[in-house]
Amino acid sequence: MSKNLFPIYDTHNLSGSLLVTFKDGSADLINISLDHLTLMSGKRFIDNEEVQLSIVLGRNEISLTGTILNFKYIRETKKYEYIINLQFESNDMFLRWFAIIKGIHRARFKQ
Amino acid sequence: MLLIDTHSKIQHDLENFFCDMISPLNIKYLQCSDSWLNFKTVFATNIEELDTVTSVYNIPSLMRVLLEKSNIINEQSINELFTGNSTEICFILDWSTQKKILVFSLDGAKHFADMQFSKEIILAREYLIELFSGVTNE
Repeated sequence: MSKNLFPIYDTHNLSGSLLVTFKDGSADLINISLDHLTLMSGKRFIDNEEVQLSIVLGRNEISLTGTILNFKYIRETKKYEYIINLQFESNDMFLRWFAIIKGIHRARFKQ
Repeated sequence: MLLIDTHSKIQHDLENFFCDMISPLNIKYLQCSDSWLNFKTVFATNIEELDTVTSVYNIPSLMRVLLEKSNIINEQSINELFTGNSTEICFILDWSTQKKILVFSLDGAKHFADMQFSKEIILAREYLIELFSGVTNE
């Protein structure tokens, strides 16, 4: 088995109801998965740095902890794109995230 | 749709093979039907489950395997999450080429102890791959 074990969902259609706070600044979420997410930010961070994220999706607000897996500079937007591996210390927070991901999946596939 | 003859033959072979290990046998063979990890049931001892499609998130025994591989939560948390949910064993026949899994339901069945049963399934891997080799989700 390899990494990226779970489906990845782009977030274009969620942009109106999505607010991401990353390192005390706003960020644009590109895609999400159960175990990682990709976001874009104007701030520069380093690989393997632990980061805190806050995501508001509709009426759900969730705080996440993750580690920057890698990043790249996007010349067109002059921003950095980060892939962040998620980790959950509490089952409560994991179950909330799981419910969000499951809801996105169900909305697209009715399964 | 699996032909009735093929279904009957596989069911007969499985019941013969597993008769000493688990009874009654309740097993599903699922193949991944897209890149979003939706799985189609292409064989099931309960014929009403045939051709149903379910997401990875709704297969608890597979979710447990994937969570253990992913390291997003620790082992103790996984054990807590799945407490009372151990009536199912997932056996992955193939993951790298086409994702194919077997799900054994232990609910209400007389069976070998979980670990012993898992070992027996691992020993039967080649037999099971061969048995399901002609079954597709077309």
